[in-house]
Amino acid sequence: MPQLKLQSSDGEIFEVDVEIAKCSFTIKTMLEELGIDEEDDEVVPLPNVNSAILEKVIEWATYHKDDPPPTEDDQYKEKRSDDICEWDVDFLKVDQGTLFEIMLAANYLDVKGLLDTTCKTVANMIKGKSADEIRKTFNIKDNFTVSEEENVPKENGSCEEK
Amino acid sequence: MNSMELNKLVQSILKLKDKLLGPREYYTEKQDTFTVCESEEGQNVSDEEPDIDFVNSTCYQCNGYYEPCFGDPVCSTCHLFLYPVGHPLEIPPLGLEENNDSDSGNDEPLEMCRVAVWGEHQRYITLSRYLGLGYRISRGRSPFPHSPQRQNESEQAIAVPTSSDVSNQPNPPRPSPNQDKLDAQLQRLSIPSAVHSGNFNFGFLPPEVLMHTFQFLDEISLWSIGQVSSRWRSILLMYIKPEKWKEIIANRWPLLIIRDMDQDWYELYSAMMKSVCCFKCVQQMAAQECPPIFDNNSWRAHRLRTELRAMRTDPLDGIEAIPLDEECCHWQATMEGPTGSCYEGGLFFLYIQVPVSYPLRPPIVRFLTKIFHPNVSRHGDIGVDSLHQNWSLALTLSKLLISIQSLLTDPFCDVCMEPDICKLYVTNRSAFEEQARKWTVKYAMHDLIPH
Repeated sequence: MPQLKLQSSDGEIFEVDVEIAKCSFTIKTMLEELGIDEEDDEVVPLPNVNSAILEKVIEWATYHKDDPPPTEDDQYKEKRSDDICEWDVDFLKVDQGTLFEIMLAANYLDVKGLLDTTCKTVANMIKGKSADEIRKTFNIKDNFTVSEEENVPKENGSCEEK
Repeated sequence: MNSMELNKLVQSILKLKDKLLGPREYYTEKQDTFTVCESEEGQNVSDEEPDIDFVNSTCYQCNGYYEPCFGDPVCSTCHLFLYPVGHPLEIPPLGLEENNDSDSGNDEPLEMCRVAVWGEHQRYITLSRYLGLGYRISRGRSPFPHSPQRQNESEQAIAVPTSSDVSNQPNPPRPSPNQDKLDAQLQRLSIPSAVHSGNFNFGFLPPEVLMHTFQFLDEISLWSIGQVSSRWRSILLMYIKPEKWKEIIANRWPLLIIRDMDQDWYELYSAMMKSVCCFKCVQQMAAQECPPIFDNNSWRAHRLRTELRAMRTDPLDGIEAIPLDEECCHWQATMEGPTGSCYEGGLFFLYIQVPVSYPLRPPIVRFLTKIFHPNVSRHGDIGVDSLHQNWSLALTLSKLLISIQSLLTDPFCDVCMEPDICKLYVTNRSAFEEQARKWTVKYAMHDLIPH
């Protein structure tokens, strides 16, 4: 099995099967367009992914290497988010920072399956929550400006706030 | 100093405390979350206009014991206990069954008159001291495992997990029976929080990633997203064009009358969501399932068909009701405020859940739109005897709705859901009416809300 060397942002080099690396559409396109010979001992630099996250992505890609390719479907239609496979659920039992970085890496490397599964995880964290609760969950600042605030009166405003 | 003055002093101290401490998110001592800031006759406390609202800083059921309630009257955990998710299950026979464990009933964090919703797993009935029943009827699990006597000691010891802790579980409960959800919820509350690491901010997820996430969300969650931050809102409005919200509104609020066809639909949706008593109830209404098999020739089906036909051929004055599903388990109803009452001009939404054993058991009816009324709890539950112990086979949905509508004109003060409103109604009618009118304008005139 031909191997490919991937270099993370912090300089660590990972050797992976080309087939696994091709889970990433970004890498796949690069290999095809640049015509990098699989026999070459070239290193693919991935300046946006650190070693810890790259390791996670490779772990995921290795497990999912035999998955059927994802199908494109209708936008706008609400899709299920409760069909995350058991392995992915365990795989994504990580802190929010890691989850966030995996999402960014999946987006940058264009690994559709991984992006789907992480987005579903985040969607599940959002579902059923009010805006306040979502803000608290993700530690997001309420940055509505004053002018917008007028259009968006505070929920359950009481006389004390007037 | 008479009790009125004392009460006012306590209120003002509490208000001051609120200002100093900001929003309470964790366990706080029990206090009435109903705030009355109004001037008594002749004594002007302040020049501010009298205004009354519920301050939902802590869940009024558990008083913040389980988790923050985020502006809703009831926190998620208590909501799961009291208001079952899923299809309307068989309701255990009504009737007062005295429990004989010498329970004084004093160990309830709530003293309001409420008759909770019964589900398979929740048989939890609390009747008010106003009914003169000094006992609590509770079979199965009670959501309130500790008594107020112990609350004080436990105050220091209990660190209530915040929702961010909860959220670290990547796999929230899947749609499943209520019990599973409840168990999952309780389990999550007991899991300690993971430490967040690194420099990240979900608020600044790249738009394409955020939009990718949006496709897994239902419309209510999408609306919440739009309320989180201005960045998220602009990305959301790029993903779902405002016109699309028009469709969503028509779907979610089928009985909403829209006169102005040229408006910001997202804002209208926002206004609708903000006018409801309980955000969780609307979500529940959206997610309710129906029992899989129904006999089309059953008494229930036959009766509901007849009722629906009667409603169509002979519409009620100012009342509309339509089933949301084929099996007629979930209904939405609207009620115009009776002419001459302080609710005039308002359109109030109600949610009706028709149990499988209807008409042997009464339907569950709740206000969705906030209404200032002694017999409607802050959560929207209605204190009408025909909905509970006095249900009879001769009653129909229309008759129920009519009796609720007449309740709007004539509140019933011997038994009430919100004693404070009742007190105001009895002692200071004009202030009550002014307040009820204000709430009607604020929450029930949907055409006006966005502006």
